[in-house]
Amino acid sequence: MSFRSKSLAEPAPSGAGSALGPTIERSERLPGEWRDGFKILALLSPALFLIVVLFLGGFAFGFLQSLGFLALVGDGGLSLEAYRRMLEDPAVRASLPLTLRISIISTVLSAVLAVASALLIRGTKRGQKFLVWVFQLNIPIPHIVGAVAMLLLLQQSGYFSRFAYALGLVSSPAEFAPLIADEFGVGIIVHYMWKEIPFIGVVVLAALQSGVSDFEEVARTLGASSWKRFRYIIVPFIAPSVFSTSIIAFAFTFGSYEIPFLLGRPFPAALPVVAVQSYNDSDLLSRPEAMATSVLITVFISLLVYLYMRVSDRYTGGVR
Amino acid sequence: MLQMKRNLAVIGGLTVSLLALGACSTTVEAPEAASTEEAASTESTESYWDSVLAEADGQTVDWFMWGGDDRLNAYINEYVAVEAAKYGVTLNQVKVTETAEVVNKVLGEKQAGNLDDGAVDLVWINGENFATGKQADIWFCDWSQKLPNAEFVDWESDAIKFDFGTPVDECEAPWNQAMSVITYNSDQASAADFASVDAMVAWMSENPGQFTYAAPPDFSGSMQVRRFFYHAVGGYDKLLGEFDQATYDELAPQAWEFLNGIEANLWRGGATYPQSGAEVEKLFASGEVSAYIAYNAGRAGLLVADGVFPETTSQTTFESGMIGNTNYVAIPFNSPDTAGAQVVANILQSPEAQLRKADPSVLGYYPAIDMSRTDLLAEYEALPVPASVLPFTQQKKNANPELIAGWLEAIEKGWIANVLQK
Repeated sequence: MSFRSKSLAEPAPSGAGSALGPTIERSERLPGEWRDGFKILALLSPALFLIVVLFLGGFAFGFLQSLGFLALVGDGGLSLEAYRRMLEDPAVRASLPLTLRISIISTVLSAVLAVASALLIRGTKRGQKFLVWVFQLNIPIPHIVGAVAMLLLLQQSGYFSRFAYALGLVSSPAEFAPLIADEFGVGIIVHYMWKEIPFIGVVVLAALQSGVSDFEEVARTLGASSWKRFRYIIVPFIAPSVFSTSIIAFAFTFGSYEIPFLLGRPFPAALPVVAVQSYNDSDLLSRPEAMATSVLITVFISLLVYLYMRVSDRYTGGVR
Repeated sequence: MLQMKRNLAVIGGLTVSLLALGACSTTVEAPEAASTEEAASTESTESYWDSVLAEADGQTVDWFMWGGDDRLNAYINEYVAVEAAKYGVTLNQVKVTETAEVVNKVLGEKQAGNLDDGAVDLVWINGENFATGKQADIWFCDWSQKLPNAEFVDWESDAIKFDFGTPVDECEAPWNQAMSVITYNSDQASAADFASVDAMVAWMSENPGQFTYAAPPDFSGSMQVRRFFYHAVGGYDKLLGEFDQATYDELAPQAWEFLNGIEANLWRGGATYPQSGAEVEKLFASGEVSAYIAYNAGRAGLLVADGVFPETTSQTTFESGMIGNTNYVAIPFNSPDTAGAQVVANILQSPEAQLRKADPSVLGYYPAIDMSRTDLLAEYEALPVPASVLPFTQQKKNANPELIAGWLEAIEKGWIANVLQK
């Protein structure tokens, strides 16, 4: 890389005699560089196509629509009216605290339980392989299947409620505590934890495999207590994994539609549900507001990704 | 070097084929669409239909429809598709959860400039979704009264000519009629408890938590809110015709007061509402509620037969009547297969097809055609009605109309702001 740029930066020799050498060298070199450039571009093009056309293109189009561009009805002028309407919409206002609550609680609890589970599994002597297998069993199960399972288990006429009825704890479905479509979002949080704990946990387990026991061994021989080994060896080792997976989990729970739709209420509903509600509003004037809500979600998640990159840069920078 | 060439070749090939695709869709399909329109305006019904049949042969019709009913899907794929194949038309059912999604798809295509090669050829639709599409001018029109089987349809009836108050204008063809009924568990209630809305309110206060309705804009929930709205404002007469803001502002508060008044006696104490009619059905099946109101009375009979609903399931109507409507199939303006779609619509309206789907053991969907105009009236009247299902003639007694889309939107939005969000 550095060699190539240096040769390009060289001033062209002016003397007729000396011109020959460098000119030949450059004419041989240039096609090679072009070739490399093409090759990289060609190899990247499928990914670039997806990112530029489908994501950035879609986002730009959605953003323009949120400004009233290409509106199917209305005067066609561009304005921030949809954003004003969005911020005044009681559905959006009630949605923000709910969406944040669900994402924060499910992510924090998942991270804590994932680290605890990973450490416990690592500590087992026998059957560890089996435990790891069980632990990551539900990672390939689609979210929607998990959500239906939550419905069957947790709703007021679900299996837990029937079990409580059989034990004589409740006498009718209405007496069983509402865990689905409840005010707090318990069903949604439980579902996300079911999915995120193994996700974060498996990555933490992988981080714990990468030579951490050698450091621990050294620390132990030097007389470090188990708390100190945890605090000064394990935590630094797993922190980048916990942090990055948590941000992924948070961004996912913040932007996911199907789980809060299936397990939540029509009002207050999570932000993506509100966006779809206004997108499906038969009044076409609501369309820009739906796009504005989607833009809000995208911008928030993008900020998280930026934060993630900043922090992971710092961590990897530290290792280097 | 070789690797690079291969990569470039792949990209080049892709580009060429994409360009070719674009070219095809704009040049080849356009004349066909034009010829159909021409035919519709100039020729008589018979030769019109001959040219439709000729054009339809070999077409594939993508029919986008709500796909939540397995028996309906079986009827479409095992009967309608077989009939369509006799005309050389391949019927491809595309299941959706919300018809609004299909309207959005066509609107999106229109925005993107796809004017003659849309993905949707036929859509099962009515009410607001039809009105939204009409507002944006996305329907193929001037065809539904030219279908040969249109002779069986009572096009003079307001219930057919107007779709939730919106003039049909030959932009859609009627397929089914639907009436809403009250379905209840006779272990928990009796027909007298639902003789009137007032009787029902009294029953709810004695049996709190036993009734609920889906949150509008859900189709069935929206209908129930309107039915209570009619009651609270003293009848639907003032609500007919175009939407009127002043009338709405004057009457709506009475309706919200009524609906907020019964809220405490609803399922979950009215703290939340189910999100769909299907969810309400599940609540009834699991015994969480013991009465609900929904379109399509026949469905309850099927669910009893399947063992999903209890044997004690029964149906009734308010003496002042329930809300009824007609549903249709429409063709988007940019469908490349308008002829095939018309052939399918015509099959749907045939006396045989209408009789078959009216059979409770098949579907129990009520005919959109006037069966007395066909040779199959005796067979239709001989169809068995399950004990749990109210006969159609009784369902239709004192039927209440649906409202024009403007009213629907105002009432749905009003309900969300004044009942759900309160």
